[in-house]
Amino acid sequence: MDKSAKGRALVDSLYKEIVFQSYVASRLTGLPTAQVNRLIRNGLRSKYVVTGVYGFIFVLIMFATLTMSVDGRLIFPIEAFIWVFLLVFLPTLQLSYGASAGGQIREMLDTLPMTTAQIERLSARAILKTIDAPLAIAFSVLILGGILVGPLFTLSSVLGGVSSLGIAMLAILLLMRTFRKFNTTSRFGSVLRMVVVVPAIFVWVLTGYVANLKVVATSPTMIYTPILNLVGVSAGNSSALYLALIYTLIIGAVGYKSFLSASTLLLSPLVSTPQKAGRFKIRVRSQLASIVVTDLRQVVRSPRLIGFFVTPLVFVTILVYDLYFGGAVSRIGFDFVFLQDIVPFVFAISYMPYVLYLSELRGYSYFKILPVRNSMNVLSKMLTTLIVFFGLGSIMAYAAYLPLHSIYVFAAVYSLGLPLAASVLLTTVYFNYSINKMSMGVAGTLTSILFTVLNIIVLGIPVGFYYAGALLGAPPLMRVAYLCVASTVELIALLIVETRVKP
Amino acid sequence: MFVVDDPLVVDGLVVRYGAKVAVDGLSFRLRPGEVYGLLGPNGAGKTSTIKAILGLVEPSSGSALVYGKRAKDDPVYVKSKIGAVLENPVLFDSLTPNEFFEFVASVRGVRDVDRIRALIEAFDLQTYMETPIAALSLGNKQKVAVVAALLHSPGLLILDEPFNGLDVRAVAIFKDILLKHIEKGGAVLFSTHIMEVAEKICTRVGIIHQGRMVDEGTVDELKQRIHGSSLEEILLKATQLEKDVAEALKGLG
Repeated sequence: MDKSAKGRALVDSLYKEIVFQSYVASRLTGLPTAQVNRLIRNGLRSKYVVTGVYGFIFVLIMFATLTMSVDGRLIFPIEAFIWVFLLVFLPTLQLSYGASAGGQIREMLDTLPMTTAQIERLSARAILKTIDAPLAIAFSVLILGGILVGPLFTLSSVLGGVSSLGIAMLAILLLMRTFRKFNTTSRFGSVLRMVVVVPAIFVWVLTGYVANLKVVATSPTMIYTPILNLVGVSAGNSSALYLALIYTLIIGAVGYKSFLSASTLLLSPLVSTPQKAGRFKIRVRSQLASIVVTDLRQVVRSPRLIGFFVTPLVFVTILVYDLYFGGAVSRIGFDFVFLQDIVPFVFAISYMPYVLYLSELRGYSYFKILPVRNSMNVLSKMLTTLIVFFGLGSIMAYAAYLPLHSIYVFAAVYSLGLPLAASVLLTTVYFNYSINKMSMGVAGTLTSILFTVLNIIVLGIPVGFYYAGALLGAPPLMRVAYLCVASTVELIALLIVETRVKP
Repeated sequence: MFVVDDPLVVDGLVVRYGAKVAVDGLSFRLRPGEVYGLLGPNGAGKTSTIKAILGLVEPSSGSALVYGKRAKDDPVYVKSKIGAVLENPVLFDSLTPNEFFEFVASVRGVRDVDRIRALIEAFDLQTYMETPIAALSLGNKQKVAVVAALLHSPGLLILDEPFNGLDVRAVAIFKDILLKHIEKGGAVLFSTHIMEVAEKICTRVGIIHQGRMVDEGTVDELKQRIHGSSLEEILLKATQLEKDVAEALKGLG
C-alpha cells in the first residue's frame, strides 16, 4: 500500500471511531457485535441525514432569496455565512463531547509513531470527514444557485461560506482552550459550558440585525466591515469585493491553523482536576428528590447533556431579542412569537428525558442496578424536565408580559407544560419498547426519525388546538383551555400505553 | 437441597444475543456464608451470567433467583438485596463521591450515615470527597464502586474483578469485610481472572467454558478430581486449554 493510500486508510479508521464514539458515547460496554455494527452504520448514515437536511435548507434559502426585493437579496451572503457557521460549529462541538468523553481516541493517537503535526493533520482530516458531505452540498447549492440568483450572489455567498468556516474553527479553538481551564464541577465551569453556544446565538441574532439594516451598497459599512461587506459584493461594489477577498484569505488562513490546533483538543478528554481537600457531607433525601437532584446536576455538568439546558437558553435569548430589539410583538403579535420562539423552545427541552434515559442504558450504567421502580423513574424524568421548563419558561413569559401587560402570556407559556409532560411519557414508552426489543435504546435512523415525528405530533396537536381557537375567534384564555384539554387527553392515552409497555 | 431463600439459585440459565449463545443451560447454587468463585476464560459467559442475575439482560430460558425472586418479576426487591461491583463500573463521572454516595444512599434508603462515613474512612477516600469522579484514578474509582456496593449491607454481593486497581491496604480491608460478611450469613458471587486470589477466598468454585458449567466444587475437591496443583492448572485442564497454551507458546518461539 503506498503512502497516500495508507494515510487515507488511517483517516478512514479514525473517522469511523470518532463517529462511533460521538454517536453512542464512549463508555458503551458489553454490547453484542451485531449492536456495535448497527451503531457504526447508524452513525455513518447520520451524516447523510444531516446532508439532506442542510441541502434542503440551502435550497430553501436560495428560493426565498428569489422572492425578495433587490435590497432583500443583497443579504443572501449573510444567510450563507450563518448557515455554514451553524453547520460547522454545532455538529463539531457535539461530536467532541462524545469523542472526548473517554479519552481513548486521543490516547490511542499518542501511541502512534507520528509527530504532533502529523497527528493534528490526521485528526483534522478525520473530523472534517464527519461534515464533508453537508459542506459539499451547501457549497454546491451556493455555486449552482448562481444560475438563478446571478454570479455576484454566488461569489459573495461562497466568500461568506469560506469566512464562516474560518470563524467557526477559530471559535471552536477558543472554546476548547477555555474549557480546559476549568473543572467540570466548578460553578464557573458549569456556567461556561452553559454559554458554549454563545457564538451560535450571536450569529443567529445577526440575521435579525441584517434584516433590519438599510442597505446602501456604497456606505462604509458595506465596504470595510468584514462579513457585512459581502452585501457590498452582492451589490457589485468592487472595493467591497477586493477587501472581502483579502478578509476571506486572512480568516481562512487563521481558521485553517485554528482547526489543526483544535482537532486534537476536540478528541482530548476534559479531565477534571482534583479540587480542594474534601470533607464528608452527605444529605440523605427521598428517592424521588435524589434522582431529580442528580439528573439536574448531570444536566448542568455533563458535556453530553448540557446542550439540553443550553439550547432552551438559546431560544430564551432569541425571544428576548425578537421582542425587544426586533419589535416582534408589535409587528407580528404574541401568537406568532408563541409559534416561532416558545414552541421550538419546548420542543428542544422535550429531548431532555430522551438523553437522560439514553445515559442510563449505556452498558453497565450504574443506574440500572439500583432498586428504582419504573414509575419512580418516569416521575423523576418528568419533574426534572418540568423544572427546567418552568424555570426558563418563566423568563420567556415575563419577557413577553412586559410589552403586552397581559397575564394570559403566562397561562399560554405554562400550559405547554402539559404537552411536554405527554412528551416525557412518549419517551418512556419508546425506551421501554426499545428495551423489550433488546435494542438497548440504540435507535436506528428510521426509528429516531419516527420518534421525532411522533414527538412533533404529541407537542403539535395541543398547539394546533390553540391556533384553531384563534381562528375561531376564541378569547386568549379560551385558546389556552383548548390546548390544555387536548393535552390532557393525550396524557391519559399515553399513560395507558405506558402501563402496557413495561421494560 | 434447594432452599427457596438461598441467596442465589441459577437453574438452566440460557442467555442468547441473537444467534450467539452466551450462557448455555448454566446451573449452580449459592448458600449463605459462601464465597462462590465463577471462573473461566474470556468469553466464557461469566459477565452474561452476572447481567442476567442483575436483570440487565433477560434470559432466553431458565432462571436466576435472588432470595427466591427473579429480577424480571420483582426488580426492585432483587436489586435491593444485591450489592454489585462490576468490572469497569460506569459511575456518574460528573458527580463527586459525596454526591454519588448521597444519591446511592438516598435511592437505597440508607439512613445510617455513620456507616457510610466508616466505609469511606476504611477505604481512605476522605480526601477525594469533593473531587469529581472523572478526575479519580482507576483505583479510587474502584473504591467508590466498592463503598457504594457495601453501604446498604446487602445479603448478596456480586463482585466482578473487584480488586482491579485497589492498593494493598484497600485489598486487605476489602477481604476482611468479605470475611465478616459471610460470617454474618451473607453470600458472595466472585468472578476474577486472578487465580491466586480466588484460591484464597472462595469456598466453592464453578468453572465455566463456552457458556456451560464444566466442573464445580471446593478447591480441594477440584484438585483431587482434575489432578492439578493450583487453580490455574485446574482451569486450564478443565477447559482443555492446556494444549492451546502449549501450542501458542511454541508458535512464539
